[in-house]
Amino acid sequence: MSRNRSARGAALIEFAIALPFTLTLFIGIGDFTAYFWSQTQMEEVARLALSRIVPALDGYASADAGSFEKYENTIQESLRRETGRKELAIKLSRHYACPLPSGAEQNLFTEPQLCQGERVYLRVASDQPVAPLLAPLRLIGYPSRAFSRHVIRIR
Amino acid sequence: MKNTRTRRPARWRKRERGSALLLTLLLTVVGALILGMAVDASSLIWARSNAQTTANLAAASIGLELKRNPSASTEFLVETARAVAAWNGYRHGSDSVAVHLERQDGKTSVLVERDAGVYFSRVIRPQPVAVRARAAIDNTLLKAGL
Repeated sequence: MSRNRSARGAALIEFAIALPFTLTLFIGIGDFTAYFWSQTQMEEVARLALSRIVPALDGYASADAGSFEKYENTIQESLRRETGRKELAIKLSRHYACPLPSGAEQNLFTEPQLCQGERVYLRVASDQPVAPLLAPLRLIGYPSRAFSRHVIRIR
Repeated sequence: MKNTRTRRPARWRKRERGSALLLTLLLTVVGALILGMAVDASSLIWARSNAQTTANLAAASIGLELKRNPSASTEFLVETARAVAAWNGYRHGSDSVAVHLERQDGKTSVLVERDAGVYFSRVIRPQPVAVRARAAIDNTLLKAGL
């Protein structure tokens, strides 16, 4: 009788010890799944954004700062509506490169370089915060944002 | 209350001893293999998706160049594709990346190749797995988006 009782007690203690680890493992799997899903969604969002931009690339190359910001907001709003992601952020930026004699480019600059044959690129960045359930356990070091970055030459 | 459980003979119990260990070992190996293949398959799908996006971006950039200058040289178009791919993380000639322009049946397309990172399948197949993505360059790309 007393042996049965002690065995039962031991099982309870083992269960109590194993439970937090098992829960952390399963919630962690869920968190990472949610993160990778968000990451995939960001790739899809970037593709959608580019599909809006591509037909009017010339306009993006020559637009002044005010119009450029307006384009950015319009795309962001339309993608937020389309994907249902209210916290989605779309950032457009122009970058400039000066080709070497070989045609290769070494750096992208945020300001025009006014060099011969200057190339202009459009960078489309999409960001979305992710809120993992295990975020308070800082040891695990979850990423706080899902994002994607794509660059296309516009001139 | 009478215990109705029958006790198996001692020699049977002796034969069964160790079977749990073998079964656990077998299941662990099979489980690890399945998990490893799942990770590798996901990695390949992810790499393929990224390569396709890069090919699309390069093709769109070339389409734009051709719209602006229909007589642009092939060298310039190749250089454009490689530059766009490089800024998207696919630098031609490094890290097993290759970016080419292909012309077949009057159609031009951008081909992006890279050896994808497989981790667990190396046990079965030591050679790297090449991921390829192709995007056609035509005017519809510019009209309809990527």
